[in-house]
Amino acid sequence: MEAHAHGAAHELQIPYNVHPRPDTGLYNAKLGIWLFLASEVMLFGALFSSLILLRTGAPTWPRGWTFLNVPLATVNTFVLIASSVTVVLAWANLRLGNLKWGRLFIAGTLLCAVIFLVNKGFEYHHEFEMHRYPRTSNFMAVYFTMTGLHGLHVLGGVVVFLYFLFPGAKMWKTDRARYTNRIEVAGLYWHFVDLVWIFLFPTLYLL
Amino acid sequence: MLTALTVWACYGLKMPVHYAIMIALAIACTKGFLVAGFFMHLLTERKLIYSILMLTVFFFAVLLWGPWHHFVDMIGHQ
Repeated sequence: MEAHAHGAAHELQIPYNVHPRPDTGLYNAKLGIWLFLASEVMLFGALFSSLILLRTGAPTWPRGWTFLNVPLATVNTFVLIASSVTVVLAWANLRLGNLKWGRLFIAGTLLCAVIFLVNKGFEYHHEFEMHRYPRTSNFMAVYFTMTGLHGLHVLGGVVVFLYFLFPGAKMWKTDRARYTNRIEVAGLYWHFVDLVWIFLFPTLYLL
Repeated sequence: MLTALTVWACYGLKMPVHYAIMIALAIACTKGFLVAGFFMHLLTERKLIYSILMLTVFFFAVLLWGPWHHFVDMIGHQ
């Protein structure tokens, strides 16, 4: 009975969460996050595809910069790129065995994410004050759908980094390499969120 | 710097839409390459990741082909 319970516990352990699998050359979480990101490319790709279809099919299409808040969106672009830098620094410090600085840079990433969301909140508030809603026009529908979905991804990142900053950091005492890998995987997701914004910003605000 | 350049080129110069689209997308692609290549370590990644991404790029191209085909068809009818 005891041997059976021990065997079951052994089976539940996720293999290759630190060392790479011999056949893939990657640890499982890294392969998993890349597959997830591939599905995310298709999700945002479908929305970009819809935008192109609507824009080329419309007789007139508003140019975002004539009424959207370009300076605020520019600041948000800088903030997201800065957060990508801080997450790389967090991972690099953890690799060097420096938890204190690693957590500090995770906190920096979180701060950037919160600034981004607050700015986005101001932007949405202004749009609603001007009576511009998703039902107002195709442009506004696309704008709210794409920036809203992107904002939800930022919010998801905030939840993940909050977990790794506080309760998740306990893993550092028991399994440093696995904790560092978790930050790398979360960082890959975060860079993708940054990457989506890099294309959303000119598409919606400048063109 | 590239972000500032995009804003200046599209917002500051107020150039025709088709030029602005080309410039903005070229700068966005450069920024995307820098983020994916260096921050996401894609320049030195395993072959399996490249295979996954190649498949993604193929399906992404199929997604974009639809609207592009519609656009070309629309021009043909005008």
